[in-house]
Amino acid sequence: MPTTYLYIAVILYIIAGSAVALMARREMNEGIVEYFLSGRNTGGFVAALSYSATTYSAFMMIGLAGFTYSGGVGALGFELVYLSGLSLVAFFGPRFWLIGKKNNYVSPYEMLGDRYQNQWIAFAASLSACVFLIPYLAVQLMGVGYLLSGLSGGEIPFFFGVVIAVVLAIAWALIAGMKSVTWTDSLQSLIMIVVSIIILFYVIYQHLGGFAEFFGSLAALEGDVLSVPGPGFFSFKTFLGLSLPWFFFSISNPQVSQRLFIPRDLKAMKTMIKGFLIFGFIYTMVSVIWGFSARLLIPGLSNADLATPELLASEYVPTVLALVAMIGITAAAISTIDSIMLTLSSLVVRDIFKNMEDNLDRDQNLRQLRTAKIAILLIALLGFFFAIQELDLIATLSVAASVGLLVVVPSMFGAFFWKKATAAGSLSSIIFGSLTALYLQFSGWRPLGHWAGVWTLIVTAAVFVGVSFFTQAPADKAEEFIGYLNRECKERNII
Amino acid sequence: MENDKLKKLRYIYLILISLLVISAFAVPYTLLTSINLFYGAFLFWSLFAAAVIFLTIKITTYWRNN
Repeated sequence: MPTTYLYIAVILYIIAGSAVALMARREMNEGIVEYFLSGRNTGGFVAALSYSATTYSAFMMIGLAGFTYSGGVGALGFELVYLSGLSLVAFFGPRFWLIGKKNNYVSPYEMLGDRYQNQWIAFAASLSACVFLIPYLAVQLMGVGYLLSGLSGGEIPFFFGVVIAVVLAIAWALIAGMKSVTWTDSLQSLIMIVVSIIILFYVIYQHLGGFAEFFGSLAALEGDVLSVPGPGFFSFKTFLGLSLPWFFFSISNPQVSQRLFIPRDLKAMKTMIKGFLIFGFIYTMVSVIWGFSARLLIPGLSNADLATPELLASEYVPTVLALVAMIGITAAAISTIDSIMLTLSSLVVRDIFKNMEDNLDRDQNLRQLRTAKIAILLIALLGFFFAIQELDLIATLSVAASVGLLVVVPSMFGAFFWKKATAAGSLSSIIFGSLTALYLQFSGWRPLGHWAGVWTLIVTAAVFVGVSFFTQAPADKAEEFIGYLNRECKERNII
Repeated sequence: MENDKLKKLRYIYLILISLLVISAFAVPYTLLTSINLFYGAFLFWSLFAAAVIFLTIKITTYWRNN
């Protein structure tokens, strides 16, 4: 593909995104809650699009399409099990929102620290999020680098793509915090979904004879790609090991659970939930069918992650469509990167360098904002540094991200639904869980054939419950926290 | 709504969603392993996701703003 076209497409994308970010700045008010949570005043439509853009990264059109290419229909099951995990938001979402507003929480881990009356929990959870999410962020940056370099036949260096991605993510996070992130997310999620649907329909109807013939051709392929285990990758244990950690994504990943604090009211939260479920369903279908299309049109690739770049660069996709697809995938990556940066910086400010006074005066607000902005730059630099090293370690940690973040899940359940849960239970489960996740991921050990995610969840839950039984719960706080939620839920018919 | 009724509804939805999620692991790996067609695992997982989405949205329809 001519490099000039790629540059023009990237420049147009930068201009559109930056214009939206600057518009967001005009609407921005002062203060830390405004910066990190857009003043808890986001409408349902923007919240839905932003949630979708943050959740769905470049993994979908590249990694998931690659899984489908090599492993068949199991990839669809894996991603739809993940989507079904978003049903947890129907239970946790309104509770997060209610208690966040009442106690002025900015980060989900700050909430855990307060609920269990132990700031070390917020500290440990935040540190673990940094350890796992910065490499995840680096892999997204690398994705943009590889995509631009692959599509230009190597003329655009890998380094250039990484720089573009990191600069845009920093700019769009700094310009107006959560407001510029949610607004640019909205633009980017619309680009992601529209573009991916268009290229999919083009390829299916132009080259594969429509959907009926498409499924017929898939059924005729060697390796039974329409059943599991099919070609072999998705054995049951692999499927379980991949799907289980992702099922809890909506409460385990702080950049996603923090978004439960931002809707304006319950009506906005309803729209948000409806919106991202429908978005997720469509985007999953598109990514999987896209991977299958690549399998039919360009079989025999040794590296399945190249299925999407290769198909885009092939004669089957016209240049203009390949360009917009490239922008769609870049948008998916950048909308995830800037959200992670913003959330991690809120963890750094609120939980690692703890400074939680309920009523911040103006000076403290300014100090926290300054620290937040420095934190965003540092996190971005770390991510950038990891990305350009192209180390295997980074890929391993990034894969471990969904497993490592699982360690807060039992504490989240306990915070909302178990008055006898204790700080010692929560803290020890986070520490032992993180160590289990890191050890299993790095050693590659799979006891009884099960993956790290399965064991991490078992160890974390067992430690959390076991230690809680033998230690003293913060009874007053538990009563205040859960009692308040029970009263409000009753009042508002929250199930 | 009364607490008891809320609790009952919570259990009903939790059980329904849990059964669906268990089926997403169990059915394609047992009943559908030999059906290498659109009507096999592909359709099953699509319907499973649609059902969970429906239930999730249904839960939100009970909510009332104060």
